[in-house]
Amino acid sequence: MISDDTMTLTIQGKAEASILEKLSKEYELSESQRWLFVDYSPNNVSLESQFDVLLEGDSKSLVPGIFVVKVLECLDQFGNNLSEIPEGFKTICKLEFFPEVPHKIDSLPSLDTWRHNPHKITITNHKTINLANSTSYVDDLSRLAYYLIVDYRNSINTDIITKSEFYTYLETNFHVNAKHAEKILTVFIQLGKIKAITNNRIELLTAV
Amino acid sequence: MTKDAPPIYVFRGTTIGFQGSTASMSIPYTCTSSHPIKAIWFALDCMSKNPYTAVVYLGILEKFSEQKIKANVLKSIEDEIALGMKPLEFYTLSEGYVHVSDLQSIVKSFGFDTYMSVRKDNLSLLCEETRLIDQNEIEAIVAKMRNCIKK
Repeated sequence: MISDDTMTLTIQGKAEASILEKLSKEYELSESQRWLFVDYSPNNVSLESQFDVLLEGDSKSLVPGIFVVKVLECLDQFGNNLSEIPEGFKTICKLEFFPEVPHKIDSLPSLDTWRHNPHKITITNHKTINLANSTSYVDDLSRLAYYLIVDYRNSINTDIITKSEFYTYLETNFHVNAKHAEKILTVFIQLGKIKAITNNRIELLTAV
Repeated sequence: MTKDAPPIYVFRGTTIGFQGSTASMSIPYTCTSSHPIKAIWFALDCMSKNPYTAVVYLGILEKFSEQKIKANVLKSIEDEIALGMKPLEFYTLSEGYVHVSDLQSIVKSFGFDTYMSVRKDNLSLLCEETRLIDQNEIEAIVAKMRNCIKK
């Protein structure tokens, strides 16, 4: 699993000429270029950024080979030319591949819009890859930790604790570092098991 | 996507007062959704960086002039309605915001389980898998939102 702070682009599929026509844009491509639907970006990515690692599917298996991929152009859903791929945006990007367009890219489906694709291709750069614990590990740990935290809550007779008490509890009982503890706290809040009261105080809730 | 009437309300999942990316400031537009559950997914995604300020803004579409509504010519899994204005202008014209945890609790009573771990890499899938919602359900959700809305 790649951590959120790694620069990545997730390619869902190919954008055909008709898509660019709808956006009133020129389709012009050289042999080594493709217009591609790119999923919500976790980071800001500037034009001319380069990538050299291709990963396939939800499991992000490495696609063997030596590639260089460059971001040439970026459009939003209205056909506006963007000066970068903004964090949180889905875009249509013109990418250039060296020495040639990988077979895995040309095997992607042609799409009429952004669509989840379990066989998506994620591109990244070997210099920026940071590994993270897998999502399923964090989710499983969250489920397990929840029951022990409910016990903890009962033992201290209060529903409200500080964030640092929560982190200390996780570090002591599960040997997770502070960064992972923070991620688990976020998952707990998303799942409705913890309510954020202030920046430092949280409320443990009964299961929802 | 709503299955019958044209949308009356728009919802924007974000963080309180988020002024938008550089792109949405230089080409001013604000992305919203006509589907409240899809707006929750975006708010939950924001939570990973801003756990305490993730909210859903509520807007009444007729308060925004037709010229301000931008057409997305591509299909949109988010039921997107983009408004040609900066996000800060949208917030001013909106009815206000509801904290995502309050909205999760509201929509649960309508059969929508939104207690999910949401990240950029599962946003598209969640939007695609969210069921249709009809105008009556939206009206009922909005009525409950008004009890805890903040401006």
